Amino acid sequence: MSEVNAVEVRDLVKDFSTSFRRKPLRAVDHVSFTIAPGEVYGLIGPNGSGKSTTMKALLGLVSPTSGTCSIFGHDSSKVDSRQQVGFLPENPYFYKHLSGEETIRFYGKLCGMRGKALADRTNELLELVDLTDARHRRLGGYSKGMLQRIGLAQAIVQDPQLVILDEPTAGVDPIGSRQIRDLILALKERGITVFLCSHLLEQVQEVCDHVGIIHKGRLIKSGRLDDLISIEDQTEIVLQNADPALLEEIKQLVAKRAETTLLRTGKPRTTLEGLFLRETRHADSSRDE
Amino acid sequence: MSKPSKTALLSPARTLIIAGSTFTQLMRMKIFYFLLIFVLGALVLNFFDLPHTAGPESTGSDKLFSLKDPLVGAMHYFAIIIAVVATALVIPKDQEDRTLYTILAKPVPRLDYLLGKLLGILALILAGLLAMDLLLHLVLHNHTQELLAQRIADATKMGWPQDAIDSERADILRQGPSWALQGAILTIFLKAGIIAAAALLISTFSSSTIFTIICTTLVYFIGQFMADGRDYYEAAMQSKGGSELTSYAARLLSVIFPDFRPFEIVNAAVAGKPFPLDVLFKLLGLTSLYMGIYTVLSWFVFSDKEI
Amino acid sequence: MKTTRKLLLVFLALIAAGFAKLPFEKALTSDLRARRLLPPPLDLSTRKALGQSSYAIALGGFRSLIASMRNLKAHTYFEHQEWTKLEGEYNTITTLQPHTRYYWDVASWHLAYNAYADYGDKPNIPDARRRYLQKQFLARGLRFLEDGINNNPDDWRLRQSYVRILTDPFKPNDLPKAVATIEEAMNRSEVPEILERERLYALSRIPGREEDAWQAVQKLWKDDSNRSLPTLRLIYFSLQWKFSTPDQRTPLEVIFGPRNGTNDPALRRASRQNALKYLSYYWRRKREGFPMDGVRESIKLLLQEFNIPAQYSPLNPGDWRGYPAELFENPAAR
Repeated sequence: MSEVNAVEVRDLVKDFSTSFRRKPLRAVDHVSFTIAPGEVYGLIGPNGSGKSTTMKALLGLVSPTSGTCSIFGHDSSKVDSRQQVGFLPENPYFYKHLSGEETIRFYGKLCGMRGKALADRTNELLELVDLTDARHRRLGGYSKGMLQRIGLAQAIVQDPQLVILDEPTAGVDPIGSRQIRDLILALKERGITVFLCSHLLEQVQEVCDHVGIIHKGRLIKSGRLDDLISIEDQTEIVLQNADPALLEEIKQLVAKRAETTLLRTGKPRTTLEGLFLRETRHADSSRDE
Repeated sequence: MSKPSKTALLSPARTLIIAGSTFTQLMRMKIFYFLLIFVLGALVLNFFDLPHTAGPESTGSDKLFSLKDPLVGAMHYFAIIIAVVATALVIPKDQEDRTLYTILAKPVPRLDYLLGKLLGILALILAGLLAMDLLLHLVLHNHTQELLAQRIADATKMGWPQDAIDSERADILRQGPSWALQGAILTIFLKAGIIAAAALLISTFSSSTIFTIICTTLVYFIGQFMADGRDYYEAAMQSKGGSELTSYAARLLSVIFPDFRPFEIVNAAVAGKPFPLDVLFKLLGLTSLYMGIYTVLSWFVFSDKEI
Repeated sequence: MKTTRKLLLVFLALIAAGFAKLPFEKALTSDLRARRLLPPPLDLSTRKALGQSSYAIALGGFRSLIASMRNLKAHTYFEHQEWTKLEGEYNTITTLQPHTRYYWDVASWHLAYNAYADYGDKPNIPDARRRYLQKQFLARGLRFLEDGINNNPDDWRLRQSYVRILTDPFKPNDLPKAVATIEEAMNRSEVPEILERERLYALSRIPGREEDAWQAVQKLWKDDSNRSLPTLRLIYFSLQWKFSTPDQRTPLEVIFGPRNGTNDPALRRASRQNALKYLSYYWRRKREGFPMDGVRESIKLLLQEFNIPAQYSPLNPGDWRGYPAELFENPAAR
């Protein structure tokens, strides 16, 4: 039996009407992608490319102009679909008048958690995000990194199967970023699907299995990270104590020579950043033609 | 993947959670500092007499009226201002802080969210009114007993007949703490409830807090003027054959906007008149109608609002 | 759905709901006005008196607050004896709060008593003008009470205040009007007995209505608690002198002493002393028009009985300052 996709976005279009121009602004233009359960999917794109709008459409915060979004097979415009979703928005502020502990408890109660289960879960999450010492402090006194961590805690309070993170490390110091990265990897290990948006391509490269590149509302590239960032017309042979001239000879020789270890063969890799820049420039020049 | 359980359209538990959070949020915004001003005012009135004239036939109960009137007026002010400002603030603040995203990203129907916000604000107003009511009654009870003892002693000394003394006592007690006064305070709360619901409706489509505050204040004033305006234009139509257009405009306004005139029964109750129970039930019915309409329309606008 | 379309639907829904609630609201407002729990519509001409900001606040449902503030201002006019300005303030205040008895009462008191007395004392005013101004302010004071009664027809205290001005011995009186006012109140609802007594006092002073007064005093006399009231005792005494034969009359000692009379000589003597004092003061109020039947004769008899020297007789013309206490302490020593 085929497993239901954690996220399925089909031909999503979102137009925003503007006050002064008749023509509506198309923020998302026929975007389609899927996220399998247990995957970490990164949606990358410049500011104003439609990342947040796509996320909001998935969460039912905005209504698609056309197309569909579903979460584990359930229409994302329905409240029911959000039982298995946790969301951390970009630069969240939460209720400053609540303490860290109260914030987690508040969101836990909204998800229907009560009593000892909620209390235990609160303690567990505070320890997970390393905020046990600050549990009674009001969020108004939290640093940016602490807010992101408490945001992550509230996002997973009800132990959702899908976590959506919008710029989870934006404005966070390197140590904080590292902690958040580790948390995401921990979620991945537990089989939780993660859908994240970020500008910070290195970090996306570290945690994501799949990546989509969105530019001016269009998904211009999508696929497995490894596949996307590998270079097709190059191969690599990693040898110990060999020189390149012997490529063909080496192959045959390697087969004959038992003492030489052929470590791997494959295509050389560029960086994600390089791929991103190349693809967006290509897309722009295609449009101009 | 198991099918998620159907989320109820309206969950009292969820609504109360949001209401509690809203109440706490507003409390921690130090709104209750207003109460300090009220306490000060009550203390001043308790220990100092305002310049006050009374004729020789005065029963002295007029002093009790002079005590009640400004304090109930202050309670009225508090309730209306909180209803307008707090309600205008809550949704835009949540949206600005992105707290709204995190709440609605949970399985929280938008109706629960709206109702929770409204209930939180009403709880705040009610708590404030109860605190002020308690203080008012303490001060009023104190003054009533003092006045009663003094006037009865004077009347007995002057050899008044018993019926005159009884009449004096009844007059003073009528101006003292009474169920009619409680009815008046409840009426203030009901009026604030309507204003809060109207503010909530406006805030669902308003672009800013200031706009919501201004519009709600206009709704309030038009609602106060409603009955007078309607009567004036109807009279003008009958007597002078006034402009049909203005008459239709007046009628349209009276249809759209709430009519707060019945709620001015507060003044009669403060003046010592009885507060009939049937009137209280009618006001409750009217309030429920207004709040129901405004809340449903708020939900209608907010249900697919782009966040 | 587009926002504009939604807002249009909201507007239409408000109109539809408005039509549904309108009859209920109108009926409720009318009912409350009929029960005098709501003031009549704010007279738009009051706007001028209130000023724009106060008018807006008053319309904003804070009539009582504006009235209270204006009342403080009126008090300062009272302190400076600026009666016309005071009257203007109370015109506004009573328009804002027509169902608050206090404002009608104190307005009439200021004008009918304080202003009246002030113009009586003010120096450097020609007599004719003085009398004219006094008459004017008396009339204005009465007008406030008349309007107050119109707005609060069930409030007997306003009528009581009105009657007291009309029967004030130091002002021009209108006793038939005073009686009619009380009778109107009695027809509307049960009124306290004090008002019935005030009716009697006014009635007894109207020439030609002594018979009605006699009926009224007999009714009140039946209530034991009324028998301790000096004026009522005196009116009873006088009217019974007029309408009863000597053998039918209640003895003097019973009227002015213990209710059931007494055989104790000391108590009887004390009662008769009481009677002399009361009758003497009563006689000095002759100009107010109270019935005086049997009063002169009884005073003469009692003066003789107690050996009161002639110079202390209340029947003498001119000032009378009462009886020195020693006259009754040991008459034998005199």
